[in-house]
Amino acid sequence: MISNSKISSIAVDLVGWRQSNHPDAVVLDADTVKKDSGLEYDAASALCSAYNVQLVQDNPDITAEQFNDLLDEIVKGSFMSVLNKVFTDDDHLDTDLLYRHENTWDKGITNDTSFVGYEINIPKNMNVSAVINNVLLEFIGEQAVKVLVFNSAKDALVSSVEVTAKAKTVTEKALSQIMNAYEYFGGRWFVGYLRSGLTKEAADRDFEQSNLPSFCGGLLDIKPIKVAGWDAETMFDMNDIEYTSNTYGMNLEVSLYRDFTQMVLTNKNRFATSLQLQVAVDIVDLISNSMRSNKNERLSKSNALLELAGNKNNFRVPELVGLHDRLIAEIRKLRATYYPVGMKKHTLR
Amino acid sequence: MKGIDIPIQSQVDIFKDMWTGTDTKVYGRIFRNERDGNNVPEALDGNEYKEVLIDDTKDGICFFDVRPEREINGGSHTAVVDVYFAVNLSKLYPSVTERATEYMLNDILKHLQWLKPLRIVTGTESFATWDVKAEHNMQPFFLLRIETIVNYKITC
Repeated sequence: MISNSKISSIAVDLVGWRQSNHPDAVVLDADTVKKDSGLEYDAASALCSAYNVQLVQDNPDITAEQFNDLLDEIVKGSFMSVLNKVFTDDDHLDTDLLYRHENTWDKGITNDTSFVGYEINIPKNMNVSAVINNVLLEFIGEQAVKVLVFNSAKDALVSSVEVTAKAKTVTEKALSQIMNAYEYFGGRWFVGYLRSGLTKEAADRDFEQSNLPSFCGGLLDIKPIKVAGWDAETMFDMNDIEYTSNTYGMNLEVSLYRDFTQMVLTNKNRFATSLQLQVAVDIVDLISNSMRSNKNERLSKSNALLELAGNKNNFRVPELVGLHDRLIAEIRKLRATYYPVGMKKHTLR
Repeated sequence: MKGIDIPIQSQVDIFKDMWTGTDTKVYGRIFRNERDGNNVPEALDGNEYKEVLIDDTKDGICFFDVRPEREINGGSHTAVVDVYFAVNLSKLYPSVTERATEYMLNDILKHLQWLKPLRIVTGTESFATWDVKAEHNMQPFFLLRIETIVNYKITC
């Protein structure tokens, strides 16, 4: 798993675009020319200049603001493309329902003024993320409930979802809440709802093995909690948390993933060359498929395919290592770093 | 300036005036240069050649191609000059709702003063000498060539 929003925040500054001196060239923003790694895109291929992009992208009347935004979007997309090529192994660790076993509807839990739900502890090593895919509510009667998500590192609500639980029917609603250790450093997550104002009772899990929780890969620590007297949609005092065995009619479907985001953020310069090459590949591909018609487009297009694919077999044309091959070589180096091959064993037959 | 460049440059100035306020480019006499096995029209810009075919960043372009063979009649010469136009009709005639090709022709012929028109050729056939695509002549774009004849004197 890789957080697109976190990665996008560093992608644009990692490698820079060079400002063209051509009088018709759009003036690039300071962020667009910034290059934390010291690399520039047109160093990978002379076809990959900002002015060339301006003349091959599909809007002849593009404004400066639109063009700068376009360059940023190209870079962000290319960076995700690089990361998806490097981190190809299955990152999914586990998916499970917190409570897998069936329950009955003959016992309810009396409402009072409190926050009830779960405390979720994510491993602090930042390389694992959990996702609450769905929240499932079990109420004796039909009841509208607002499910709240908090993190102890933040006073305000993180997210919420409105669910209308059907009477005596497990009601499922997508939440898609990602929980990790780097979004709110060192915080604990809480998912639950406020009980004041509710008229129908939540179903009690008191049948056979219905209150036996699964362990979701063994990495997550999920405990049912209650905060008595709490009535606000803000983070409560953790000293007031009471750990309980009641689930208060709430079940969660949770997935666990390996998360590479922090690894990338703390080693971003290692990805600079591959980003530079991926953007060059994407731009040269744009050139070869451009619907524009002008001198730069014509001259660039005639060389684009050779630049992409290179030349090894045609003796009439100088040998050239294409952008694709250069990118693949760079990706291999990155994979060797993050997926090192162990000791190779060879046997004689 | 000498020879055929005199009437051509005078006509260039008239077309530039005609298109004042638009983002058009009028080149004078171009040269047929071979690039990668193809003939490409190029204008001399200082010491550099500049290719002058369709440019979608402009509202329109125009250039003059003097045919290689010219007749000599005593002290004067006669040359056939093809005047090429590649324009964006929506940009040049924004208030016209139909395809404004006839508006374009009307304006050009009204302002053609230094060269005598012989024939009008429209569409991709007009640019048959150069490398163009069908979409270069589809709305709002329009391709046009006017074959003209010009008499001029070479003063030695």
